[in-house]
Amino acid sequence: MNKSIKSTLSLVIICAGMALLIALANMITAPIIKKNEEAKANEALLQVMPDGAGFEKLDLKTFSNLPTTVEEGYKETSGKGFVVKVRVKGFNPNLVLMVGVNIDETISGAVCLSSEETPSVTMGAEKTYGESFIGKKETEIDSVNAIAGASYTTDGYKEALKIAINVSKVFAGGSADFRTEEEKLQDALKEVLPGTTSFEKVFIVEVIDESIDAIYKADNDKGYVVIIGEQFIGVNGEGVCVSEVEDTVKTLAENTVSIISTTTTVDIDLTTYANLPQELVWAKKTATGNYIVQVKGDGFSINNYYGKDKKEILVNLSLTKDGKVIDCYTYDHGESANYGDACGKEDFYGQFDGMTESDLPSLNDIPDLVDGGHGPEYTEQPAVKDVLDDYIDVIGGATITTRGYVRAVLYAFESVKIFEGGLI
Amino acid sequence: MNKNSNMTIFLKGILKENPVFVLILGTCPTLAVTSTVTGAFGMGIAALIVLVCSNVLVSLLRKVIPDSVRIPCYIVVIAGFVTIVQMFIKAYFPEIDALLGVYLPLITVNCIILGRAEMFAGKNTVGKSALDGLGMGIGFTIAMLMMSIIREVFGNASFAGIAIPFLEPYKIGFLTSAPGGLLVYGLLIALVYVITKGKAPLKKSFSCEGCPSKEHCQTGACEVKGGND
Repeated sequence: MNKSIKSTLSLVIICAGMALLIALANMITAPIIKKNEEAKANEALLQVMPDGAGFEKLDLKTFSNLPTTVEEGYKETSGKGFVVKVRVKGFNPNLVLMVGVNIDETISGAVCLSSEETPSVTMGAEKTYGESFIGKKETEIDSVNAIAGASYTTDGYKEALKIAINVSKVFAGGSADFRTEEEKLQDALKEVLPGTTSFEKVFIVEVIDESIDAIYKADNDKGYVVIIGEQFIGVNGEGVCVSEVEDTVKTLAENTVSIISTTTTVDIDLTTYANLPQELVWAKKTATGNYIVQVKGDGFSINNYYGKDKKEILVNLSLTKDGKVIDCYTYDHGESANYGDACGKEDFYGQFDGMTESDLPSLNDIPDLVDGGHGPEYTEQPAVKDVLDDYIDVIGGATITTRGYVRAVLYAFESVKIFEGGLI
Repeated sequence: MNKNSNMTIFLKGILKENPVFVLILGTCPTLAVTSTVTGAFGMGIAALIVLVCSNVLVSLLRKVIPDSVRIPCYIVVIAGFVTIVQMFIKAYFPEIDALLGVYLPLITVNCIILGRAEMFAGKNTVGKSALDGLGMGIGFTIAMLMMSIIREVFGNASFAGIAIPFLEPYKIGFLTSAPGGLLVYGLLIALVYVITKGKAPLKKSFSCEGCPSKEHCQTGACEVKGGND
């Protein structure tokens, strides 16, 4: 026989023989390996549903409209509830949670299977954070304390738990709404003024009725939506109310839109005033005598010893001539993610609405930052926090940011006082 | 004792030709999985089974395997047995499978196994090949255990995962690291050299005889290069 044919044949026969042996071994071991893997998977499931008798993996394809963040779903075989594996974004992507949901839609347990969160920020807290939610319903999730200094991680965690509860409703044969709060709001606004792509919150610069919670403007000039409590009142581009509401509410909405849509402003020449704070960036005055100012505050970014791209917190405020904040929002900032960047959220800046100078400590009352030798960012600032705590909700883990923000607002008050004091 | 007696063949792998401390083969798993006694024992037994099985099969087939394809044939046999062993470990000892991780399938490229197939099993009877595999396997397991006991007990103050509290204050964490493993390895090689009074065979005396490159080799070239894994 040709030598090469003999060699090839030998090799093929040996390969076939070994393949046969492997197949035999596989036949014996495969069921045991599968059983082991199931037991291991059940172990993770039992962590979040300790009294579960057994778990059956659900085929997600058989359920429609599940969010893409849901990776796996399990049904507890005795009907105690469901376990959902969810992958969401915390500060970084890939925060993976296994969440157990009881049949009464309360959390039975939650564990973090893997995360890419910054260890120095969360200190691994995301691994045990799930324990805080045991027994909580969807409506109670937001009330659980955040992981200190890790707002993004906390938000991602809470989002995952809400998704799990809603997915469980679908698994149980019901329906659920998987939209985010912002999506729900936008959809509600679109229902009031159909044909609009998106709405933007109006920065209010005129004094309006206190019952009005917010005003949104349609992106295509189709009009405004005025929110009063639970009511969404649409006012079209011609200033006519299009919602079926009581006449008094209708009139209030139309008048409010009329006020805010006809506001005119003039720029204030800052050079004509003496002693204006250097922190005032620009100012405008409305025809009704209110002021719109942009002020800057020295937050963490500015006071960060090693910071390369130092950036002030820029705050836009509208104030009455007697120094009361009509509206306030953060225009820009360079504060740290997961810490001071909470100053860019309405939860924080919304608390300044309606404040006057007397509602905040004076500039002199706010202590200077303490520098322990390596920049203030490495030094606790309890004295500052103690003072601010008496007036506002200080951002967790971001006292320096809060201090800078409050100082900016105080400079706005000071500026208005100078404007009202007259020209040079 | 007769050089070719069954007892000599069996015993040589344990000390005189210990694959780890004398032949300096299989150094990768020796350093990688000897930080715990359990892992080292698991690796030792897995390698022992593969060694015995592959030696037996290679010896059985030695007359039918053409010389030109013998190495690929040996690799197929070894890889096949490694896969089978891995399946059984996964099924019956999942903790050890998790502990050994990637080093378990890497037994396929362990020099000891291919070395014994090439140097011994390919030229000897089934019985002697089985004894050689058994001796070398036990020698490998003993070496792994010696390394791991020193590293885990003195480096981690525990034995097979069981804490040894009185050693806790004196533990030398360095021993569980890769450099620590190398240090222990070197010391044990020196110890074996002392015990055998330097009579352990030099690489030259065992490697050239069974070396497939013997005819083309420059004499002593492999001595310079030394063993590898």
